[in-house]
Amino acid sequence: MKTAICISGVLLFISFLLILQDDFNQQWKQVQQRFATIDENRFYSADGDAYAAEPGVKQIVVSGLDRVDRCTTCHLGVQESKYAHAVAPFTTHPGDMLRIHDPKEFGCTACHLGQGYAVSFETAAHEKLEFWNETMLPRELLQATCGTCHLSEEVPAAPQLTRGRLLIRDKGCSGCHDLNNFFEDTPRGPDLEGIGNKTTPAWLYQWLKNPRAYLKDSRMPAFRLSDHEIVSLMEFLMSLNTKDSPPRLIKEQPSEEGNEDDGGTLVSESRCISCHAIHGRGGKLAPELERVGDKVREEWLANFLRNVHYYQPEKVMLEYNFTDRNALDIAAYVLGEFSEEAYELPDSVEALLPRSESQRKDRIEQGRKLMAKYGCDGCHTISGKRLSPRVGPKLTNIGSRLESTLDFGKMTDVVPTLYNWMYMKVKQPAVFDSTSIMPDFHLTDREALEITLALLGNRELEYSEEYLVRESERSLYRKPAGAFGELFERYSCISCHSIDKYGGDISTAPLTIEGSKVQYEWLKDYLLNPSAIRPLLAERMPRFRMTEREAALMADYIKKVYVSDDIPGFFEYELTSQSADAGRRLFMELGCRSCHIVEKTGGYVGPQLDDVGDRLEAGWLFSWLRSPLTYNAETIHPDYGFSEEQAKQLTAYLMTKRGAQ
Amino acid sequence: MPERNTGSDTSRPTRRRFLELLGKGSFVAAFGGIFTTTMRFLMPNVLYEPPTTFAIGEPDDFAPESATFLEDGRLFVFRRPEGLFAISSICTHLGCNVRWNAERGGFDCPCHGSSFDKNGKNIAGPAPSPLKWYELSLNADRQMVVNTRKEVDKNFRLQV
Amino acid sequence: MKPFLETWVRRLTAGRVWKSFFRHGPVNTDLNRSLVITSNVALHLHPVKVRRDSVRFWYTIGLGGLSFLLFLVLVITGILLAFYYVPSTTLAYRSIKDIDNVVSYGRILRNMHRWAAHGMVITVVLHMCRVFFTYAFANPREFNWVIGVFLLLSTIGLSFTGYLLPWDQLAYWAITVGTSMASYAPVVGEKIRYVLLGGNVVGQGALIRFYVLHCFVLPAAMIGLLAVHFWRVRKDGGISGPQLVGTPERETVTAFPSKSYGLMAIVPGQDITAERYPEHYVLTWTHLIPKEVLATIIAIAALNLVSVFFNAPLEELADPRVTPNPAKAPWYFLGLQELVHYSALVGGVLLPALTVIGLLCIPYLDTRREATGVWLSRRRLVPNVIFGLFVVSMTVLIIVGTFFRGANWAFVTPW
Repeated sequence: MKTAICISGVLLFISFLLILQDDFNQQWKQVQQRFATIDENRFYSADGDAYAAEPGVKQIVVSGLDRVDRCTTCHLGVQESKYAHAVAPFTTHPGDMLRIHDPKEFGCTACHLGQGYAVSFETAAHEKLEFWNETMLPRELLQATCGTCHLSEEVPAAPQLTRGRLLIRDKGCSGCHDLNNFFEDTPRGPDLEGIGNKTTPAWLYQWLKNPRAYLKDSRMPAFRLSDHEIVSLMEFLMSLNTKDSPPRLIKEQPSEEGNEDDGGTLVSESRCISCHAIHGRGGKLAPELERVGDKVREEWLANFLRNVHYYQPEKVMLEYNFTDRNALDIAAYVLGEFSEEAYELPDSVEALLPRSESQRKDRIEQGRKLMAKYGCDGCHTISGKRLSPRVGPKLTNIGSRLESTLDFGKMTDVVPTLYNWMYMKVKQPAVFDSTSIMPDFHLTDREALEITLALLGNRELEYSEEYLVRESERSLYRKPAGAFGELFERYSCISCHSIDKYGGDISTAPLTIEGSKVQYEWLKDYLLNPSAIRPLLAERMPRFRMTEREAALMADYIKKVYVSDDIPGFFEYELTSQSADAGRRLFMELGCRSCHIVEKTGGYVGPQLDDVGDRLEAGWLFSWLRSPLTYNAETIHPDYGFSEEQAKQLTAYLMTKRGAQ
Repeated sequence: MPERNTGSDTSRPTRRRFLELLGKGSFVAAFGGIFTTTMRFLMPNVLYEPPTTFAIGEPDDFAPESATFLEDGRLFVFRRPEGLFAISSICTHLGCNVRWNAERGGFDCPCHGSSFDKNGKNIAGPAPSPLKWYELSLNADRQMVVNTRKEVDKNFRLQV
Repeated sequence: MKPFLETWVRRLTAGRVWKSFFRHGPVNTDLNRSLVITSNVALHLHPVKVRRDSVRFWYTIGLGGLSFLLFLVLVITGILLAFYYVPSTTLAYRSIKDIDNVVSYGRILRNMHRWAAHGMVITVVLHMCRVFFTYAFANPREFNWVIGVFLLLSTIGLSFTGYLLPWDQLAYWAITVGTSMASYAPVVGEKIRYVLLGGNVVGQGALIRFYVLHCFVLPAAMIGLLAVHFWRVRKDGGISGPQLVGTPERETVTAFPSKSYGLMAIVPGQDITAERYPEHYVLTWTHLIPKEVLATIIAIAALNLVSVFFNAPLEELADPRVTPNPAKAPWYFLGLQELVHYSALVGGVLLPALTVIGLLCIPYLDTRREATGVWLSRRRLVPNVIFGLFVVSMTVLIIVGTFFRGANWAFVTPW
């Protein structure tokens, strides 16, 4: 007995030794010893408690973010540039992010994630750790956490996040999912009322089967539908044919055939190509028109062109003021020109079509239900209304979703982190569950990554308000009002032009300071009858067919409102003919003609300058020459660093270039 | 006869004694282990105390010839023509907050009646030593920063 | 050196101060071996002599003592942990994280507390089984069985209330499910839950209530019940054992009827009979204490080793919005949860109530008074089989609930 007690006593002693060593051999203690060998000064005392002079556990308490971060226990050099080339984990934090986000105020894990409480490599969740939801973000996803505090749509310092958020808006995710309110909740696809008048069942069939077969970069995602489902949807959609009496509509079948040749002229004159691509050339704002002739019915197209905003209440496309005759001509031209061969239903589908009126009714009812089931109405309203609430789960807190609740289905070889799950899900929605109704968006790797990143930042955490950035970091744009506002909307200016960084990017001329830039007479003429300023660009201003009165009103408004105080007015009175001569010499010396056409010769890169004296304001030319980058950050125009005198001389010279010459 | 048995008789008790010693030693060591672990356990490695270095505002927030008590930092900030300086409000007797007596130009402790002169030197009562002077510095944002870990002498002035 | 030490030891032990602590001489004679017990507080736990049958290891397997030891460990580690733990919904989880990560030995102490708690539930149940299968609750020990049942309930109550304190997902949902099972009781069920949680959902109110129950109320009840439990064992002449061979009807020697001269004299009954069968009795100091010491050492060493290598679970911070699938009650309630899955009334009300009432009634129903102190006696086949079936079926249900139930409480295999 005594022996047994003695032996077990030794065992007890050993067990206590094991306990004792647990504290002595802590990983961070070894790391700090290693740090002492690379720097004799060891634990330097900067002005923060995180780097107190003595060794020991360091921590940053950030109560506003509800975080306690002990990362600096091992990452001892993060804030000292002298450790830029030290070995990990002592390296200086790269970049200048810490200057904007002082670790004393923000800690580490609010951005990087990981477990701040922990003081060993494994428990700090550098890699996936069981029961810790915030696995440290890999470098590619680092901008995700920016989105938790930066709640406005665009975050200039986080381009990936911004792109991700714009993608989310562009793909129409909010049609099915409740996202944070900064993602616009406008329908992304056309209203479906009247679609039965617009197209044919055969086209609908193949479109629902695979939108990309018709339009290779279609925004509509692919729903994995059975032929049965497609037929039901098709019947339902074809039954939506009531929208047949809009005002000023060509009511009957076209009484006379359109003239294709006239139509062709109108199409090129109207610069359709600025927004619509045809055979791969042209703008990307609007759908490709390559096979539109196989899709739409001729009478529908003619009606559409006569009254665009009736069909398109969101007013992306402009109103062209075509006559009935014009519309018929264009429709005839488009149907003839932009088609390959008519779509036909496969026989197997033909067999599914309803045979009787009651069957048809059933099908239509089924189609309506499917419409709601798949959340089609998230993007396509019917007479402006939705059939059902959002069908997808709410994603406002998706970034905090517990990893233990994720279902990876049969995918067992994936590291079960939230970001892996989300990436795979957006890339291939049926990957974990073949019954998922989420459609396939055909995202590229990069798009999927950026969307994952943007969604990961959607976390409803108890962060104190002072850390949240809500106000927009972008535009001050306000929609113009009054008579100008009406015209502005009618001609959909904002689809191509931007104002205060808001709007389209098809035009190279933002309207923000257009009034300081161009002359009134020229602007008015240009609105009436646009001419090519940059011959190389496919996207050009279309002919609006507006009245003289309208053009005058718009020009007047632009000249008065869209101006900048930084650009001097009445500048031409400072210019003399001597300086114009000096300007000409300078112009030729610098070889400006390699890009600009002057006196009928020169390059095509920049705008031609032979009538620039009629077109631009002297003050603008002067300001532009002094500092092109101020007015367009992406311009390729060189900044020659002109003195005031030189800029004045060049301006004087250019102002002599008038159309009369 | 007894000599013959000596070998076996002494070797057995020795082994037993050794085992016994080992057993007892292990007990003592194990209890030592319990004691040290417990004591070590009770000494925290991290604290949630307020920081010892903190910003207190710009120099111009303090009026000339003023004495300002900062509750959060437990210190007085003085502005004199020669510059600014900070004196701890923690009485060196038993840690109460002392009060600035403007009439007398000195500090009084409400707890046990200690008095200090305008430089914080203990002049009456039970306080054993003068009030501490803390280092003041300016950071990049022109905020004054107090470091309560760094004591300075009474000639210290922060010039601005 | 050595004589010097010995001299000082002698001087110390001969001194008045030492004598005031210890009233017996060096423990090398039977007299002193008796005095060690009678002159110390140990007399409250052990008599001078114990029955030879009762100190046989395989008779008790030390389960009662082990339960008490684990309780002591839990008290000590619990007090230490309480120095760091903060019972607030915003700080509880963080304080546990701190204990695990940056308090020296905190992780190990928490592990010890956790594993000892699970261990105690098991040893207490096994102790109860031992008592049943050896028919140790027979007259006059019926009431001590009843105390034992209450001790079992206190143990489970302590474990259950402690479950919530880390405020992680595991804790939160185990308590949500566990307390919801209570609400199935007719009429009073909802009220019980309301009082227990201090509200309708598990929140700050529930946390502070469970904290007070766990740290003050239940330990106090436990200590009180333990005192009675141990006192009863002593009163009933030590723990049970088989009938002494050749012993006639039990006799009570009424010694010193008119005067009391000490504790030994005023205690009637079996302490006196002890003297009548010297061959059946052995000295506590030489036959029981070493075994207890050995068991203590082995148990603590084992607990230490387990606690160094196996961490107590701590899941994500409690989130009332996210229910894990499946949400499980603490393991000892999983048998009931399994039954609730089939019938809320049976699992949530009938079975727990019947179990407790049944356990309380056992000693008053099962009164055949034979084969006391014999493991699994053939003469007690029927009660043994009934109780055995009950224990096995509960165990099977718990195992099924623990290992064979996955998402949506669907049947899964753990491999």
